[in-house]
Amino acid sequence: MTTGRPGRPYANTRLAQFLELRILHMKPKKTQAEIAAAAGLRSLNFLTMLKQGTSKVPIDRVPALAKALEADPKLLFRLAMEQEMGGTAAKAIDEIFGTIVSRNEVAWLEALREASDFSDPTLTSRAKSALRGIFGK
Amino acid sequence: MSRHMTRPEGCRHRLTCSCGALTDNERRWIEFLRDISDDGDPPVTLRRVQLLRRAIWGNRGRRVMR
Repeated sequence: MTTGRPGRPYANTRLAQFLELRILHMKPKKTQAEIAAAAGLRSLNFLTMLKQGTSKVPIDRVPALAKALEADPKLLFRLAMEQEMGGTAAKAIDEIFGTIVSRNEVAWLEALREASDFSDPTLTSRAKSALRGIFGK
Repeated sequence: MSRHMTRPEGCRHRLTCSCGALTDNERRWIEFLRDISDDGDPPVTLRRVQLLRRAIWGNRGRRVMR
């Protein structure tokens, strides 16, 4: 999950991209300095480093950072694990301990079960197209 | 829980823990959802549930999956 960009080894990780987008969305509500302080980061500069992928997010900062960003801690944890150890190792952990799902994903799973009469539907091409339609992809 | 699902009754309430309670199909749905939403963790809305139902059953209420 690293990139060849000099000085920004984690810039292409999904967590760095998520942070950049989330901080942008939070702009009307919270400044970056407020987010950094609420997350217990040592400086605003460190938050910038996380966002730009210069540094990786310390796992122990995940709960506070999720709270500061008003994001689901399980989502952030999953992305941090992936950033920390790479996609393949993160997938292995998923297989061993089970898929980590956020609160919103739990709601999606419940909706999927209800909508399918609890029939454990397969993800067909047709279903994929419909889902893409939902998100305008 | 459905007769079609292999998990025992009550497992749906264990989704909030990471105990591997998802079926392979559910994991595929979630992973696809993550991909198309760019990990945006989108909330479920009434409109989305309606579209999800259509994705599973088709426009005419006929099952198109499985």
